[in-house]
Amino acid sequence: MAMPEEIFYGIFARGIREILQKSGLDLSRLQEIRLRADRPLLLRYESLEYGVTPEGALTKRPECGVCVNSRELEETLEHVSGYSLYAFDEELKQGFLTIPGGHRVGVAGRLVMEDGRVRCIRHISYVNIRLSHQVKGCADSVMRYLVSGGQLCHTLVISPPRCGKTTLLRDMIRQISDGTPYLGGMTVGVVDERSELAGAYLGMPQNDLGLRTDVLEGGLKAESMMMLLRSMSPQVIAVDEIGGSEDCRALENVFHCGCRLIATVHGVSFEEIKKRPLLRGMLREQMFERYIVLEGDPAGSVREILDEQGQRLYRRRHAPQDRERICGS
Amino acid sequence: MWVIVKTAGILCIMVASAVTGAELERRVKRRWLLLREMYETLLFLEKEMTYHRSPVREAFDYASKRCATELSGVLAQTAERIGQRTGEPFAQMWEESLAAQLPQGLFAREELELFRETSVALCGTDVVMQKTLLEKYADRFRTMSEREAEVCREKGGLYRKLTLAAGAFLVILLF
Repeated sequence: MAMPEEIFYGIFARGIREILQKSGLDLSRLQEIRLRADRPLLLRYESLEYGVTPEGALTKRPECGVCVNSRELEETLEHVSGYSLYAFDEELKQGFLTIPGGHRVGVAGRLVMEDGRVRCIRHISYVNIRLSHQVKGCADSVMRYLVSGGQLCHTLVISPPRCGKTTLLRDMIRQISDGTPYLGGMTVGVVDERSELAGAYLGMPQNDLGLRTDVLEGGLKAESMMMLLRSMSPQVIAVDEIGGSEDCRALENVFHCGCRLIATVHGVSFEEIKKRPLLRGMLREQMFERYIVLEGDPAGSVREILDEQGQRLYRRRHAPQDRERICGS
Repeated sequence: MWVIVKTAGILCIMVASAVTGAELERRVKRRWLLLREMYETLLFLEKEMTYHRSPVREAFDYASKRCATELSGVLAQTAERIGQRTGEPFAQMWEESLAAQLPQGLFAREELELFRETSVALCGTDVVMQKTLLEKYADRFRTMSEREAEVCREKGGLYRKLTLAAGAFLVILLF
């Protein structure tokens, strides 16, 4: 969901807000804004990093840009949290909070520990505002490869960081839920540990995940998967960034319950994740039927799609002689 | 005729002195009620924020409905401005609401400064200190309201009696 400009700029301290408004940014191309106390303001705009001059011009030399002072950072946090930072206590323990529009504000500072667990975070001096851009239709090209024999295939999306896997997963969920020319609509249960998929703000999802989607946000992935299985009777479970041993055990339960599974994992290639101890077993038993490998240039590009045996079903065309579409499903 | 005028004059003087006494007593009582309500509101807000994690706008709306004094207007106005998301600092909104809603001349400058300072406790980026600050400010208002209750008890009736006595003295003097 696009964030109206006035609401977006309203989350910043007055001084920063005026400078950003002068810069005339196209919010749909803005990816990140980083605030660090007594350091230059940095933007990631169209995948490039810029500083901002006092006149509002973007500069590739951040040291020439405006610096953020600690008072401005505090004021920004007040606006981001609706003057209620304490209300986001649980999310802050995980290092982030979600704001209207589904955008994520990551924070860093001093952790206060109690009995080995994070009690809270204080003296927040670093803020990273990551804008969420729902790209409807970005999964159009992959959906037909995910259906086989009239059924949705268990799918694993493999992607390096910042290559659009969450954006792709979001659109896959939406299309599976709403239905596609290849498959009718299905009930989808989404495990949204960091509120990135639905981008829920005070319980209200800010992104469109489809007609038949239920979202369980904030909890640990393993527990959330089991809760969804028990309570919401999903036909499909979608989960972002699997990795731990509990996640893998929960995934096995999902497989054996007859649910279809869509998951993502950090990685650069199918061969690389085959070497990981936690995933090796699942891959060897061919639990996943489709592997979608993304690459970062440009973000969200599908490099290849593989079947359960690692056979290539689709490869992105880099040059005319590289075209290798072997088969479709 | 002269008797009627005298009687009317006496009545006016006595009524005026009674009203003046009642007004002085009411002013003292008003201060006490406001300070007590501020103390109770801070305790309420501390629980809303700490246990229920209610966003500040919701907490203020709820608290304003529980208040009987001008504090209700302060909380309601601040909540409304928060909802408008104009990007103003919280301290500014709180201060302007106080200036608009609290009765003029009721509190000394130092006392008004304390009201303004509570914005630090109501909205801060240090969630650990926030609870402590709310308790600290609540305690200060409690102390002030207890002192004011004492003043009200001692001086409330005294003002009424003094003004009536002054009125009677004036009547005797004049007539």
